[in-house]
Amino acid sequence: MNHGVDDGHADLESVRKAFLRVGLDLAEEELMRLVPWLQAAQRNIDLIADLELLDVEPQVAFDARWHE
Amino acid sequence: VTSPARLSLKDAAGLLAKGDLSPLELARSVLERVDRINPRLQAYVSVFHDEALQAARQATDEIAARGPRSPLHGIPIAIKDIYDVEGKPTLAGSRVREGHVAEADSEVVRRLRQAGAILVGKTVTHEFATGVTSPPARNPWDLDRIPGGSSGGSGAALAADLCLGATGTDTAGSIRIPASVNGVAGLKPTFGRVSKRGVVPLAWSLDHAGPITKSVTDTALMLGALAGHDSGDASSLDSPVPVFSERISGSLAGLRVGVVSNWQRDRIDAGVGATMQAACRLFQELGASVRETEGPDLELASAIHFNILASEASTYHQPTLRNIPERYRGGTRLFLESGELIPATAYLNAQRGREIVRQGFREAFEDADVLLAPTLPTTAGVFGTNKVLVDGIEEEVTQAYIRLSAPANLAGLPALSVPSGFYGGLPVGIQIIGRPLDEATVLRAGAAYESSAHNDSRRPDL
Repeated sequence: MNHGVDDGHADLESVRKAFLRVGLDLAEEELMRLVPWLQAAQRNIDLIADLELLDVEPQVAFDARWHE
Repeated sequence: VTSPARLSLKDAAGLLAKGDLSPLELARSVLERVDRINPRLQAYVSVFHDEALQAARQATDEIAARGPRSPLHGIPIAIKDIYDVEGKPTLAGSRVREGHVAEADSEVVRRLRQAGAILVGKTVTHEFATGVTSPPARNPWDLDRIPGGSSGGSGAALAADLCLGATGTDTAGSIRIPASVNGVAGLKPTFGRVSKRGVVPLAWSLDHAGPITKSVTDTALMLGALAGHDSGDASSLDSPVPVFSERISGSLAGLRVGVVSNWQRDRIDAGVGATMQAACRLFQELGASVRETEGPDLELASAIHFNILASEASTYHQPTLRNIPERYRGGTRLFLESGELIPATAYLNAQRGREIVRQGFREAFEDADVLLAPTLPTTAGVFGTNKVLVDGIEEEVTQAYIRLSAPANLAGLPALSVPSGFYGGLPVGIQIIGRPLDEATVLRAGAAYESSAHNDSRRPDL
């Protein structure tokens, strides 16, 4: 379970602490509204984690403004 | 007698060049409709009434003396309120931006002014372009329905003849979605084709700027003014820009159209499916070869897209989400907060995962010059709710609307939404996707389809 949220479960105290670690002190009502968003995000993270990406680098664009 | 405001950009430009219409007459006609209709439609957040008339007078004198300097000279254009216009607020649909005044024109606005366009005003955007409903703007085909988004005000303004061209931005479909639900044309160009300098970002690696117009021919004319390298935009492409309006006519004989069949196996309305079948038949009649192909997996593309979108958007909004969180609308704030907890590893895996989406498109283009798909799985949803019915099943509207459009953002491909008729009294659009930098072929296919589709000529009753 990441940040206290998984499919079907939500530990609001863990969620609150996760947000505190990134500098956001959220009220319980806001945390409850966030649970479905965090569950959806976790499903996306899990799906991407299963990809075979061993030889793939993230693309980094060269900024042509360097020469100006 | 047709009101000049109801003309297409191309037809108006022709009349202006011949001296049969003046920019001042055209601007007055547009502003009269804006004054009459916008209080109900709420497509514009602000109207530059005096400045537009002043610019139109100047354009009238210039064209009388020397002729038009471009097809956009004297043409009234609307600007999505996410582009900077010098001296005007860029509110981006949010109280977070209260008090903002732009110090300079965005590059797109600079190019429009250089082309001689008349700026009518700023159109409503969904808050920071994060959604598809664009309140308080309404859909001119049914004022109880949404105009799509995030460029909803631009789409509504065009369908209601409150401008002759408009700007939009597209991070997941925000040009094509309002084009589809308002029955107009909208192009997301290749990533980097049109400068984003002076545009409030949503997600740097997914954002595209582009035109929304009444027809595909108008899209080509407007793209010609907007496209080109901008050394002030890190993602701007330094590539030759064709004269798009000279490349859109001609036979489709030999054109290979790939119909993305796996995207249609996803849930779509029967009316959308029927539109696609009719479009395939028409492309065949026009001489194109039409065959089914497979596009990138939608569930995977959606997961990758969300991780990138939420991570980048939350990063941009990090300071204001901490200092003035109460100024965000509820849905926007939840979306941005959810992005705060996406790990860096998940963001980077999503960026790496884009290669799988690109590869999926590359394989589809091995046997196709353009890909064909519905723009949306359904038509305009009801105003005031964040749900929409797709094939009889209720879905969250943003998820439903971006499902078929977001993959092209991940790959940076040009993608055009073209009106393809009506069902249930509401417009439907089809989407034509092209190879990188091949807007010309996309526009040629779209223009041929549009001119042959025999779409009924009904207009919104306002």
